Order: sequence, then structure tokens, then C-alpha cells
Amino acid sequence: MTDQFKKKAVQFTLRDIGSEIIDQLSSDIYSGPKQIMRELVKNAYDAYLAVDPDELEDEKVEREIVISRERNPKGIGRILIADSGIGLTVDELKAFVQISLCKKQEELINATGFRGLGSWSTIGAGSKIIVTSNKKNHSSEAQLVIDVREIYSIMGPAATLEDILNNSKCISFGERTSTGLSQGTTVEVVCDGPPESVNGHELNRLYDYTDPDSDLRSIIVESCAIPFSSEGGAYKVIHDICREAEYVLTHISLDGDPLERGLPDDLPEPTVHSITVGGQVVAKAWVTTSSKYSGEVRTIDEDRHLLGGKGLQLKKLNVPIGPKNIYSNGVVRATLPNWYVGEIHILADDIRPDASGQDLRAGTARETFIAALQTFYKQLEQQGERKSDIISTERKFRQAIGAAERLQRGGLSAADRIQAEGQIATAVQLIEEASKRTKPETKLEEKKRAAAKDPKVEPIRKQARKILKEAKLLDKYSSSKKRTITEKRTVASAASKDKQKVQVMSFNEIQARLGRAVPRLAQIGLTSDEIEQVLEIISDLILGDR
Amino acid sequence: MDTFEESYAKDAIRSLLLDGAETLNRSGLTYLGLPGGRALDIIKLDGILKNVICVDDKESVLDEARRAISNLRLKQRKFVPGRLWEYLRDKYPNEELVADIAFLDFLGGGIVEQDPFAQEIAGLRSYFAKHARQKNRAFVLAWTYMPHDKGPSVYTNTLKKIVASEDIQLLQGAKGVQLRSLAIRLLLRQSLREHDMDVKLFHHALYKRVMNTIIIIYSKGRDHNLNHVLESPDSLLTEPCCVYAEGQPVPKLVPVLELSKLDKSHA
Repeated sequence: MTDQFKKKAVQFTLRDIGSEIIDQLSSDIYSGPKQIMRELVKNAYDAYLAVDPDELEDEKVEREIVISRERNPKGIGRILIADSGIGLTVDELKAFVQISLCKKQEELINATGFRGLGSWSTIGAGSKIIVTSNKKNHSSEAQLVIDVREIYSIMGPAATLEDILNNSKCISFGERTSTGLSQGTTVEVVCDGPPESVNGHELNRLYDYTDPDSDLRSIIVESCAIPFSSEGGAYKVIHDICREAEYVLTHISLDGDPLERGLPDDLPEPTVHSITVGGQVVAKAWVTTSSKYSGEVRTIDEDRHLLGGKGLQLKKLNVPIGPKNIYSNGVVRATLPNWYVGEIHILADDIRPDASGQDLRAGTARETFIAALQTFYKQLEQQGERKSDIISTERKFRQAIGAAERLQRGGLSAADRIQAEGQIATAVQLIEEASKRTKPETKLEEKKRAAAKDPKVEPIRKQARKILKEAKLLDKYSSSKKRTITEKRTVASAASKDKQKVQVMSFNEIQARLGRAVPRLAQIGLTSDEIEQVLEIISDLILGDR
Repeated sequence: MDTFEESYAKDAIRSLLLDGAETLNRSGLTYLGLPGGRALDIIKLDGILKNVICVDDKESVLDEARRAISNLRLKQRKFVPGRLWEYLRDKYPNEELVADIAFLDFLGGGIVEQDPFAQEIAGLRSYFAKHARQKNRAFVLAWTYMPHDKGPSVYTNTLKKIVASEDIQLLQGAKGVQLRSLAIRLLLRQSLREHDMDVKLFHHALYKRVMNTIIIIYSKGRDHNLNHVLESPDSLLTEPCCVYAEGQPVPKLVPVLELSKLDKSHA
């Protein structure tokens, strides 16, 4: 009989985790500026979710993420991402450097930064990351400084995670008295020079974007939740879908300019589509397309509309997932999605982006959703083709009207005559197709008939028929004698809390307030002597009966 | 004392600065000054500012200021390392922005140079020369100074070089806050006169005989948006000081030529 294995306690510590795990988090998953900016902006967005919306309203705090940047003459670049959200204490800031311990997703409904990788995901953005935070109603201001250059110089096979986390040169925390004037968190990415490799690890990855002339805006537009500009009009349906997707409208500004999206004026109000799996709506899309042209939307001015181009963007909580028209390859004609501008907002909880934000998290939910999404693309393709048929049919009737006029005028060359007659014959054929009551025999016939009978086409069809009939061209080119005729929110309420405060003012404060009144009194025309008399009266009132 | 409770006086000045700036009746203003690490001036003025130029000789202070105002929606934020007077003299003339609100706030005294006033006067001249090119547009200038300087001779010797001798007589017998208040007003009057500008002394605060802040609104040519009628630079010598005395809830208006009585009463 052989000996049984007896259990032996073996403990693991941070010393058993190599420091290069950091590189796996920062380089492999979040390599590009889009991914880094997405993480930083998401964290700022989440900071507002923890604040009672009534409080924000009472205190007139706007949900806004302010992004600013600077490159100084010494070549040091900075990008600052600031929010006026909940703010963090030193203990809470620790979560920035903890790995997979962040409880955000459980604690905050619809938090976007749910991967728990904290600041590690963005570490390569600069040479230093400084997080400064004022928590609401908290007397101290907290700061976390991550010295990326120091961390990278230590990182390697010989260094453990503990060597980094417990090294105050790499990661340090600080605290000081808060002014109490503002709340929120600022993440400052400091790039001390162009991107470089330290000990095989890349830092200063956002350096190029610290230049105020660089196109950081496109990076943000393509990777972050940029809201539409207005609640009303054509945007109402969009805002409704965003709300249904549980995105809370949060403004973003870059270098003082608000980043707000809009649609070209010539696009009609978007239509709403539901994408279902097993009878359940898992996503909603809004889609719009040019009413004049059959092809791609041509009127997007990226500077104004911030749409990140034409096509359809998949989103979760309004954050883009992957490139436009994701999962449409091989399913529909490659150019077709560009006939549209629109968004597909995922509503289902179990369909989420993966860590890269470029794809959906693997699993059956992903597969069934992609299948449903591809069905939606096919529906759009059918709609697109139908629209194309309609526009093409309208054009054919117009051409026939012109051809009839040219024939009547006479003097055409043989080639022009043949072309004109061909145009008339095509139109007559379409007029006859529209009047048929029998079932179409082929798909092509069905398409032609549907386009010719479409209410949008009807006026020009009738006009063409009339002109061709008067010119006796209808009978001449007719293949049949049958003739028929055919025809076509914003809820916002917030209860403000009555807060009755008993205020006790110090002499200093009264004095300061009265001092502030002096220029105002002068402004209403009181002379210095008169102001002095007013002040004396007030002084008597305050001090007289003491 | 807690750092942030000492400042009723400073906060009152910031409020007055905001009040003054609001009388300009235009939006998208540019601030220039030494806001300090907490940038409280800028935070107070948030809402009316579009651009800021922060100057400080300590980069660490600029770094702090940068963070402190990171959540304000500003178009341009400039953080310039260096001394403000040198900045005004050397860089401000070529700066594309024009400061609608300039706050020269020198904690611990602005005028302490070995060569008294040389830089300060050059800085002021450069500042006013640039603003004189902006016709019919009013500006706010606030200047906080404290009597931690090298004594009355710093003022009198310098003023002798730039103002008329009858004006120097005003300084005779003056000392302490009166001398400094008069000297600063004379300096400002001189610059305004040189550029044919009109002015309104919006407020001159004297806090506990230590902190002295003068806020003026001025323009070259009439600014029709402005809520004030501007007067000749001579009015700077007649407008009273608002004295905030310790233990008194109500400030007093004291003519600038009578400020010496305060020194005596305090002595």
C-alpha cells in the first residue's frame, strides 16, 4: 500500500508574483491612446455615478469631464482629466493600484470601469501619473503619485510585485487639508518626453497628444461616451435610447471646447430598431440615412458633428466597442453600413465589451448577439437596396420625361434617338409593372414592382405616364393594355431638499461681506461720505445694543 | 490657524474681484496672476473666465494650480514659470491673450528688489502699454501688497524719478500704510496718465494694517459695456480706503490722506 499525500499548507504572497504582470496589464491590453483615454474618461464618468443626482442638482454641479493638456517649453507634456464627482480618500485611492479588487461594478450600478485593473491599465500613458482627489464633505485632499519611470526601471524577472507596490519611490500617497471649495478627482498624466522604452517597457505613450495642436479630439470621439448636443428634435430618440441603455448624460470638454455630437441637417429624424434574442430586446439602434442619395452619407462634417465618420457604431453605456460596422464583414455588402449613420446600444447586462474594448467578451451571449446583429445588418441591407431601387426608379421616370421632350422637339442624332427611346421604353415597362395585379414571377420583378409602386415614386410616375400618354408614346412602347392606378421626451424632475441652516457669522465674515457692499453702494450713486454713514448705521445696529 | 480659515479677507478680495470683473459686462474673460497652488482666485472667478495665465517662480506651485483648476472648462491655460514682474516686462507684450483681469498678488510683499521698483515699474509699464492698444475696452487690475518691503525710501526714491515734485509732497510726513497706499496710487495714476486712460477705484481694502489690496477698473476710451463711469486718474488720490479693523464687524471708509491716523492710533 502506497503512502497517501498529506495536505501541506503553502502560502503565497506578493513576492510570488513577478513585477512583469504590470506590463501584461498595461501593454498587452491597453496599448493605444484610444484605450488609455477610454479608461481615464470612464473612471471620471463613474465618479459621478456615486453622487446622489439630487445633490448634484442642488449644488449646481454639472456632470462634466474636463480634459485639458499642455506642452511646456521644456517639452514636458501633460493631459489632465478632471471630474467633480464623488472624490476619493487616501484609502479609496489605494484601489487605483489594487488589482482586480475594485468593487465598482457591484457597488455602482452601470459603472463602466468594471475590470478592476485601476490605474495599471493606463500606466504607460506617461512617465508619472498623479491622481489628486477631494472627497465631498471630507476635510482632506488625497494624492497618489505613480512614478512610471521608476517602476519600469525596477521591473524585470528579478523583481516581484511587492518590490513595486511597497516602494514609495514607485507609488506614494499624500494628504493635506482640503479647501472644501471643490470636489472630485483629477488624473494628471505627465509625459517627461517622447515615447521611450525603459528596461523594455514603453512609457510616455500619450506624449504626442499633449501637444494642443494634435488630434486628441478624434481619439476621444472614437473611444469615449460623447453625448449628443440637444435633448429635443431629432436627438430625442437618440437620448431616449441612451437612457434606456442606462447611460447618464455626462458632458466632456477638451481644451475648453465642449465635445458634443450632432447630425448633418439634411439627415431625417433617426428611426429606432430593436435587436432581439429569444424574443427579448438585447439592443436598440437608431439609424438615419440621406433621403436624397442612395449611397453613402456625404454630408458629415467631422469638425462639427463629431460622429467619427459614417457607419454604425456598437456601444455599451454609450462607450464605443470596436470599429464602426463591427461584425458586418461578409454578412452584407462592405460599403452598405456606410450608407447609414447610427448606433447600436447594447441593453442586455450579459453582453459586455472585453478588456480591450475592441470586441465583445467571449461566450454564448456574444455569439447569439452577433447573430442577431448580423440579421439587423441584413435588414438594413434590404432597406438600403429598396431605397436605392426607389431612387433609381425615380431617376428613370425623370429621364423618360426628358427623352419624350427631346423626341418631340426632333433633330436628334440616331444614337441620341436610340438612347431616348430606350429611356422611354424602360419607363413604360415600369409603369406597366406598377399596374400589374398578378404575383411577380421573379425576385427582380418583385423589386421593380415594389419600387415603381412606392408612394415616394408615385408623383413622378404619374407625371411621366401623363406626358408619355399625351405624346402617344405610352401605347407605342407598351407591352400590355392593362392600366391601373395606385397610391400612401424629456422627463426631468428633482425634489429639492429644504435645508434650513442656522448660520452664525463671525465679525470677520460680516466685515468681509459689508466690504463687498461698498463698491455696490458706490455704483448706485452714493458718495464716499454717504457710504460711510450707511456703514456707521449698520455698525450701530450690530454693536449698539450689545 | 488652519490655512483655509485665515482668509475671510482674501476671500472677500476675491469676491470683490469677481464683482469688479462682472461690471465689465462681457464673457470669456482672461485672467492673469499669481493664483498660488490652490488657485482660489481662478476658482472664484470660474464661470466668467475663458483663459488663464498663471505665473509663479515655483514650478511646484504651478503644478498644483494646474490640478486645482483642472475641472474648470477653460479654453486656454498657461502656466508660466518665473517672476510676475519679469513676465509682465518680457513676455506679456508678446502674449496673444490680453488679461481682462490681472491680479498682482504678492504674498509677503512685492517690492523687495535691491534695485527698488526697477522691475516693477518696467512690468507695470509693459502691462499698461499693451492694454492701451485695446481701445474702448475696460480691464480690472487688482494689486495686493504688504508692507514687508525695504522701507519707505524704496517708494519715495523711486517715485521721485517718475512723478512730479508736487505729488512727492503728498508723501511727506506719510509713513506706514498711508505712505504705501499713496505710493501705489501715485504709481498707478502715472501709468494711467501716460496712456490717457480713465479709471474707477473699485475698492481699496486695508486689512488689519497688513494686507493692502487695490482694485481698479480702467480703460482707454469709453467702454459702453461697462457699468461704471470712469474718471480721471487723479480720482485715485481722492477715493477713500476701506479699512477692515480687527474685532470690528463693520469696515470704515477712511480718506487715503488720513490713513496715518490709523498708524498713530495703532501705535
